[in-house]
Order: sequence, then structure tokens, then C-alpha cells
Amino acid sequence: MQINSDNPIWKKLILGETQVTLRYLAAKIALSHLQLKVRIGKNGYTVEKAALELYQVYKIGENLPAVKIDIQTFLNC
Amino acid sequence: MEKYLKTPQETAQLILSGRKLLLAGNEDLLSKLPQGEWIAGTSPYFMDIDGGQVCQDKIFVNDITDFQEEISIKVYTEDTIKNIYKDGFDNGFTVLIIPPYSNVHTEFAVHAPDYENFATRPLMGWVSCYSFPQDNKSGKTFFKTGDSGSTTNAVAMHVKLPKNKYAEMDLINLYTQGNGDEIIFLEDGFNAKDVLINKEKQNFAEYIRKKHIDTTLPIVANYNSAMINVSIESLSTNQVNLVAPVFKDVKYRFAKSIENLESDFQKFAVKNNVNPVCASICILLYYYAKLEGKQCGNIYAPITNGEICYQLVNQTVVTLEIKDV
Repeated sequence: MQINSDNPIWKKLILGETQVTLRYLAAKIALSHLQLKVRIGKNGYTVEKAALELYQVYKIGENLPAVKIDIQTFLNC
Repeated sequence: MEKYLKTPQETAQLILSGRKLLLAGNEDLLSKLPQGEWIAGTSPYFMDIDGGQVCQDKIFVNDITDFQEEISIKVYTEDTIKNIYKDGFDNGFTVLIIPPYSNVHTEFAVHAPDYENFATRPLMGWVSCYSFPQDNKSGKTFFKTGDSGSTTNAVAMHVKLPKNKYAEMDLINLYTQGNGDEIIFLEDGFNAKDVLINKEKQNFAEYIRKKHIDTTLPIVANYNSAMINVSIESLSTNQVNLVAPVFKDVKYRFAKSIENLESDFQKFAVKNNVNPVCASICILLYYYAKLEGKQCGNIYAPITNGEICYQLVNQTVVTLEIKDV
């Protein structure tokens, strides 16, 4: 994948600092839950942990067209 | 075009010839099926090529043999359902069928977003219905043999796809958030008493009655533009019972009213132009959109007590297509 796990984009997405329209349905749902977990501190969630989980959603789906579109969007941010 | 609803004899022949099948039908028919590579859940409602219908003498068959490279069938309890995402193939999808009102149903509904590898692989499926519309027998799940019927265990088929194919799930939802009050729940779960309405604590049941809210409309959360519905099951004196769980601190609103759900749904289904290999349609849509005798685009599916699209959802259609890389 063109964006590594340590790219700041993942944290920015979790914190809502980067707002983009996502195409990948799995990521829309996962991101919402991860944002909430970080916001309320559920199960000790940190931004770093949530960012890594979001990265993994994209990494496993990296060959899907919707994922490729989202990654291109992130690269243009 | 061949019908998806098949006689028990036709279904048994497919099983005995080694086909890999996702099945839905009534308990008596499923309980007599031979051993093979299949999972099933009970339902009397279906969307076949001749439209929405109640059928009790045939079994709805999704044959996924030609799409798969390998399958794995597993049974899940409330203690093991947390592994549902971990157990899936990297390139593939999972179909999960859950018995309603069971512990595994509650566990999955409330905690799926906390499971390891949540949403990393396509997970679709449904909650089984009772077998007969005229009574209220519990929905069951089956796997591999007819004598496996269970009201407590979920069943899953993990499907591995060839490298040149991928699975794409979609959530077809006519409902969007309305412009009404913001509703925040104070805890996760299938029922609610006090909630925050525009940040002010109120009893949710009293609020709905006072505002004369149409409870055929779901409450809707906006998940980064994916609209996730939770349907109202019933109102008691001071409690609202829900068909899927709400999550604490998520912002919900009642859905925008749809003036002509029946015709809008038909147009929407056709416009979406999906050709799924498997799907599930919510029973509430079957009733509210009057789907009996009507088509649903190219979607042929069991009509169910709730749909799974990574997590439990309501009043939607979940589809899964197999496409070329």
C-alpha cells in the first residue's frame, strides 16, 4: 500500500482533522467506531491504537477499488 | 432464469453432488437435509425472481460453489463469536447466520465493533426468522446436517476467493437522518429508558409518545456517510425496545419520512443495479415497503429478522457481489 502505518493521515482521520468522503464501506463503519472509542476513551483506546486499526482495515483490503480510491484521496490531502 | 426457491429434493441433490450452499427455509424442511457443505437459517419469507413471497414448501438456495476456492464452516457461541473476523480468509468473505434473541445474537450485536480485526474482511449475513408466520417459533440455524438445528448457536461459512476475484459488500438504505432532535443513548443495548434529547435527559418512550413519532421510521446514525438504522420494536410504559442495539454516545436522529416507500424502494433497488451472489432483506422492509409480489431489482434473498453488514443493521438490504480484480 502507498501509505504506511506510521503516516500521520491515520491519526488525522481518527481525530477528525482530515475530513474526506470515504468510498470504502468497511472503513466508514470502522472509522466511526474508532473515533468514538478514542473520544470516550473506551477500553483505554489511544489515537495510536485506533490509527493502526484503521490502517489494517485498508491494508487487508488494499486491492479493492474503493480502497484504492480512498488511498488516492489521502495522498492528495 | 432459474428460481432460487427449490424443492427439498432438488436441494438434497445439490448437497449430495458436493455443492456449497447457503440455505434458508422452514425448520421441518431444513431438518431433513442430508450431510454436506451447507449452512442455513429459518425463514418463511423470500425474494425470488417472481417477487416477494411466503413459501413453506421450498428452500431458498444460494449456491456459491463456482465462486469459491475453499470454504470453512464454523459454529459460534457467545464465547467464540469474537473470533468471527479473525477466522475469515484474507481474500474472501464470511456469511454469518444468527438465531434471534439468543445470547450469541446479543453478544455479536453489542460487541462486534470491539472484535479483533473488525471490518477487515467482508462479513454479511442475517438473523434467522421463525419458520411460520402464523406462530412465533424461535428462529434456528443449521450447519452441515439436518439434525444440527439450534436456537443458541450461530453458524458461519468462511469463503476463500481465487486471487483474481474480490468480494464487495453494499448496504442499500433508503433512510437518512431527519432534521429532528439529536438522540444520545446513555448505554449500549437493545432497549432504552432515559436518553439525552438535544443534551437534555428525557424518557425515550414518553418522548416518542409526546411527539407522536412514527415508529415505523428507524433511528439513524451517520457513520461517515454510511447510514446505519436501528428499528423500533415496541414501546412499553417507560422503555423502548429496539431490534438492533444502539451505542452509547453515538448521535442518532429519527429517519426522514419517506412519502412513498413502496414505489421509492422499487426505484432505488433498480437504480442500484447490483447483482449479488448473496443478500439479505429486512422483514420490516418486506412489510413497510409492501414487497409481497414485488421485485427488488436483481436482488434475490431470504427476508430476515435483521441483517449483518460488518455489524447488525435493520431496515436495509445487504448485498455481496463477487467481482474480477
